[in-house]
Amino acid sequence: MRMAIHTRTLKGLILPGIIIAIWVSGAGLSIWNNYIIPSPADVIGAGYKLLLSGALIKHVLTSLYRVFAGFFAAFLLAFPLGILLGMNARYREYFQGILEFVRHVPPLAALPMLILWFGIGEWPKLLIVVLATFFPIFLNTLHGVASCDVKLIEVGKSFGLKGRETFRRIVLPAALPSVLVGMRLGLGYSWRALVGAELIAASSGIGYMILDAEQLARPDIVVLGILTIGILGTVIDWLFFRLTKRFIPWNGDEDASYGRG
Amino acid sequence: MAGVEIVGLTKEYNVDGKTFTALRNVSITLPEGSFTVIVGKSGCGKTTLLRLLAGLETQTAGNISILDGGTAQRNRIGIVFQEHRLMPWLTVRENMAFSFAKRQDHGSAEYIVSHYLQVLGLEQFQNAYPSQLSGGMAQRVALGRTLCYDPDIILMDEPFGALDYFTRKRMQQEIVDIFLMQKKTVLFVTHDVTEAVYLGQNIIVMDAGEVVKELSVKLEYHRNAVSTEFMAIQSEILQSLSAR
Repeated sequence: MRMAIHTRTLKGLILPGIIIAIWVSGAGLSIWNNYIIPSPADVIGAGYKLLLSGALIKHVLTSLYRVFAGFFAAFLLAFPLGILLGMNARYREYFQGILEFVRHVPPLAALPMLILWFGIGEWPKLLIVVLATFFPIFLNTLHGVASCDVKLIEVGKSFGLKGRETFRRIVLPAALPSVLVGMRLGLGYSWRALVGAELIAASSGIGYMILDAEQLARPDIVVLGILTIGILGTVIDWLFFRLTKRFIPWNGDEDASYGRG
Repeated sequence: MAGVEIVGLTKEYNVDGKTFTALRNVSITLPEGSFTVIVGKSGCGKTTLLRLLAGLETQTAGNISILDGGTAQRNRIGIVFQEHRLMPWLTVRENMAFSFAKRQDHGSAEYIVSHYLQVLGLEQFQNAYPSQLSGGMAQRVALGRTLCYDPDIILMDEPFGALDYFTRKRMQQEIVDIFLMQKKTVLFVTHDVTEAVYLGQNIIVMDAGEVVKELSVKLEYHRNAVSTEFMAIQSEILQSLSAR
């Protein structure tokens, strides 16, 4: 089992390894212009300087704060609403139209209006994260609750369980894998939407760092920003996956690609 | 312990605007501490009868009385379903303790679960999840869960239907052992005539929602399925079913 995991990890590293090798050798042999594709040495150098100055850490922490604050707020809204509508099919009909409409609007499309209403401060960025994260959590919670196996509910009934107890002891645990998949998807979406928002309206954060570097003609910092986003996203997703496995040990490897977003 | 008296039980369903009668005026008695088997073809109404007894559905007409010393009162009814229906997120031990929740103090719950884990030979698997069990083992856990509930009446809806021949035989023997040990009132539903004769003290043959025959089996447990008496009863049941 452990061997298989190691083999899988190694296989996953082959392509990135090839890309890095091409990048290093292309830069070393001056195959392309250093301005179009900055060399690995330039990117590492820029990262080192920004780390020393504290700027990189500051931008990363700002973005992380926005992601987690927005994610938490979205969870507080989406989880109870998903449960409420999952348990009550007749309420779903009232919400279906508006939720379908909002679901199809990309969060960034709302940014100009959010800036108009809330200014250029933290609120628009947090709201963008909330909008991006809400639907994966909401839809997966709703699906998890609504699709709870009736046969298991019958078991509860045969043991005398009623309303709340049935929900607590059967419906909620049955929905948990789906809820966690929704949260994992939401976390990924929030990260993407936030960087988009920071590229348009921000004075800090990784998105802002990339935009600022573009205006200062510093492609090495742009690449550094892209790599930072990718690495942070991967690490956060991995950590969340490890954490969720503790909550659902019976579920094996739950793949986020099966979720609803 | 308790017995059951069923009088004039009828269950109708509405399918595409048409009335379908699953049970028609069924009247039977399950004596206290007896092992009764209902046998019949698929769709004869045997599972419907079981679900009505378990309170999972409501009858269209008729009456079900749980008899305890001659007084009709509410008693505990446990059911083992056709599929194991174990909670996937609970381990074997936790599944077996499912009925305890608030009712029982922790110590006695632990004791009862440990007892049945041992009786059913599941001690080694107590920390396994249902997805890690074979079909026979999962069904044994489902039986253990119902036994831990300590019901007065146990209903079993073709619990071994999906098991292979050998596991099924072993489970039948285990059921008989548990019945002889506990003497609870058992109502077992099956479409397998051999299984019915192997298990039942009383056999009720059903067809098209009606009781067509009732037999009393006087053979000693554990029964020999190739004995002349066993085969005679089996043949009698088959004749009553094929006559219709």
